[in-house]
Amino acid sequence: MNLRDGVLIIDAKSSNDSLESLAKEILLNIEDVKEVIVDDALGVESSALFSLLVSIRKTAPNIAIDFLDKPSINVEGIGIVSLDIRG
Amino acid sequence: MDKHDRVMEIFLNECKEILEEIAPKLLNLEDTPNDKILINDIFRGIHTLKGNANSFGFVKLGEFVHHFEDLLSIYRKEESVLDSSEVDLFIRSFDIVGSVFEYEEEGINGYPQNYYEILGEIKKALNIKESHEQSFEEIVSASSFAHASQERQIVEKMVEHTQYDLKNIDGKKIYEIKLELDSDIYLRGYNHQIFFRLLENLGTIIYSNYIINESVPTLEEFNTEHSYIKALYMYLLSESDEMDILDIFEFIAQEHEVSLSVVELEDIKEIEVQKPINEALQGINESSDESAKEHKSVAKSSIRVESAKLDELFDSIGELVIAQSYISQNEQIRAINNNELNQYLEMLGKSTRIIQSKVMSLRMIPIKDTFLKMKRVVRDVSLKTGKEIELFLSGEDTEIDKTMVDKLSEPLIHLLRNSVDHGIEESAHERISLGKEGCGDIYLSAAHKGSSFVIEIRDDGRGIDTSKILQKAIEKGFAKDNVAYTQDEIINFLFCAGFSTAQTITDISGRGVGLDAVKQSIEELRGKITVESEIGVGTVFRIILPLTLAIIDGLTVRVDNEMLIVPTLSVVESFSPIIKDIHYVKGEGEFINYRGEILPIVRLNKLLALNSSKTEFEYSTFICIDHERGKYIIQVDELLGRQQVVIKSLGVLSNNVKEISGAAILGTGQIALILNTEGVREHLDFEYNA
Amino acid sequence: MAITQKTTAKTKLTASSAQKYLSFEINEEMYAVEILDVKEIIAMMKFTKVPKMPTFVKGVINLRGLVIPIIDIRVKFELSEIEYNERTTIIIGIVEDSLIGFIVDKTADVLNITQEEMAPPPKFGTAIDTTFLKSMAKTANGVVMIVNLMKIFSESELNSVKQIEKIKDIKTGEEK
Repeated sequence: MNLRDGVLIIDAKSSNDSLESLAKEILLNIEDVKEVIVDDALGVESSALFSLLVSIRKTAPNIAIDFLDKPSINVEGIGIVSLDIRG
Repeated sequence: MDKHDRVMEIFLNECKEILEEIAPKLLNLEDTPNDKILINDIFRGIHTLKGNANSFGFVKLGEFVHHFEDLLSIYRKEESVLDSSEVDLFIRSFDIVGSVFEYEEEGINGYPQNYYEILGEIKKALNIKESHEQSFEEIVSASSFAHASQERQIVEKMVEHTQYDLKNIDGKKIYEIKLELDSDIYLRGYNHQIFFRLLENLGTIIYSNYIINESVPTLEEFNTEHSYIKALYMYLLSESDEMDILDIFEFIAQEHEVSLSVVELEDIKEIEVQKPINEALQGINESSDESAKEHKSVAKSSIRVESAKLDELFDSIGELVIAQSYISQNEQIRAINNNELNQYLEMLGKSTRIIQSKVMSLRMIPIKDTFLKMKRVVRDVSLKTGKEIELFLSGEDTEIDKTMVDKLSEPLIHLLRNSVDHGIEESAHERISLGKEGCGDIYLSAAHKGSSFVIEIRDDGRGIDTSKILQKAIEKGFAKDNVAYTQDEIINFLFCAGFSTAQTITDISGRGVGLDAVKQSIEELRGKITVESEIGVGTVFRIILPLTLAIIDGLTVRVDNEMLIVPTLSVVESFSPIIKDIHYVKGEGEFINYRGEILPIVRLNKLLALNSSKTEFEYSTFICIDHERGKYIIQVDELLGRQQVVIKSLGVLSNNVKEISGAAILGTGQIALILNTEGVREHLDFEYNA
Repeated sequence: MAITQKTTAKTKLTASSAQKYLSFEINEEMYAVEILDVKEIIAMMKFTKVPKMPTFVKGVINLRGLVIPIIDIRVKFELSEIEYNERTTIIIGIVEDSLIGFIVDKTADVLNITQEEMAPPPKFGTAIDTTFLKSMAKTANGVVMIVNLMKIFSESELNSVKQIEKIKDIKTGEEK
């Protein structure tokens, strides 16, 4: 887990398995995380990443998540991406 | 069956399904000719059909649908509204598709009637339309794109983030691809990167929108085996054909709904309309209780199961239910009275009921498809008779046993034809002079009422003239001249075999089979049919059916030492007789004065020859049975209760006793015969006539 | 006709070896049915009377959730009825895809009977109607008559029974 000075950097190339273990690690250190940044320089490996971000937001609404706070972002290899949370 | 045959069977079934799906859509198109989604659906069905036909060497079918597809594809893209003559051509073309398919299926040589004629019409329409077809650029420039770009941030972003100038897309199109995803896609190896990569080969993805289900759990429960992405919208700028794009999705298209459409640039504003995510998240916390429910909206996946397998399963469940009720009612087991045992017994009972209702629900399908078919029927009859008719459907989602649905089509078709032909007045003029709308209304509705399924066919026509019916009934010998009949009794003459009120035999409803055939089919489904009518106001035919053929709601009665089940649907009430109301009429039998009506009494033990000993009336229970040829009373020794039982056929014996319609196994393991109230009535009629 | 064809087809399958038959006793005479036509044998059990059935149809039984008609071969063979006892057995036979129970006095061994041991059924000299017999076999235990289950409970016969019942109905109706 890449957590430094309250900033968590998530590698967008993480597989589903590593995202799942990452979720557990984040949970253990949730107090220390202030901001989440997605490193998408090499593209996004799994769309589960998006769900994970939403899950982090749900667990700790005060953590800043660049990816969620803008209406849309440009993701390497995918283009403009927006997340829409619906019932 | 070898492999080829099996594949062929699958193919034929698939084709039939496609045809069945398209039919109602075409009719809907008549009402909303500009519904591009509808045209798209029809197009896609025909497209699949073409693929199938060609891969199985069905040349006649392939040739025809090929042109039909071309025609459809024009209307799919074009902005112009379809007119009724074009929809009519679609419908006629579709009819040809249906008959060509039958020719191919049965291996009949030659071509169906009108094949070339309609193919010619299609080709003619194609020529005309092709010259009118606008290029995509024209459409783009004509659209409000220029304004959209100023107003819509998202479009700016598209322009900003892609190297394309959307004002000048060089004949490329923007496709909207919607991918609905199941929650288990990761387990099935879904990898969105692959799609993106394949799509990138065809063009540029300019925008993608992930629809994430609110039910995403907190990190404690976060699990990547489950996908929370409900749907994915992608916007692809490409010069490829739509089919090339769909091909990419082919291998997941079975399980996931993929839809593809060309985006009108105007529509791009839709993309941008989205709740700010923070706001949505606030909503999450409030509505997390409902999140379980939300799972339902995730795309449904389904598997196909042979109905024979379902029947077997259903039989086994029936036995399970019986075994369970045996155990729970067994005196010895109850005597143990151990808390733990009782708990498990309760659990067993509960799970059994759940399994039973789930398995039942597997057999249940909405009546919708049958109802939609009726639209076509009414349309055809309306054209033939020249009467303007509007058919209103309601309760299409009401579910009913699949085996019954198949058998309902015929009677419904007959009743609807009957309503149009006989119910609605001859002309709009006649209606208007009566103060009605010129267009006749027919309402077809379905609903659950208790443990019954009720279908109503209501028209606002002239109503049934009972004096004419009676006159005819007398002419035909169904009724006696000097007898006073009730309105209901007169209307029931309609259901007599060979009774037809049409002045001339019409092509529509006078086909030799009358309402008696309808009544018979309904009775075969253990149902009944009633009629209500008011002169000048209209007529209602009401079909009342059990929800399933496999289970019946019945009264358990004891006659001598035997148990019998009397179907609740035909029971009016049960009561202890008052001896002074009972009369014996020499040569006619026994009667009772029941609420002012003199009703015949049937001693069940005598009728069924169970025992020669006579049970005194005062120690017995009477059950009043409803029947359209008149109520009657059955005498039983004891009424034990009311329960639902699984109907078992008497197999080889079933044709032999008209008074018995089947058997049921009670909780004790004992067999109870099911009384056929129709058969008992026939017996009475027979006695009277003799 | 169809019946004989079916039988030859079956015989061909096992032409080289003997075929298996389930033997049973009625009125101290030995009978047998092809084992392929038998689903199982059960002890006599409680049954439910079905009205308006020919006398040989005793009623229906509940065989693990299946409703199966049972017929008394004694009655069918026009022999005197005896009271059912602990040796009374129901042979559940497969007749034209349906299950039918046949009540017999008792069941005996499974016999291997070869084609050579078979002879056509006698025309005379038996206690029962010979139309129910397929053939006769001479075995070490004596003569065994091979019964044709299909004939005993054939569709056509039931239909004719139905008509008889109808006629009876009419008659009783007139009497009233």
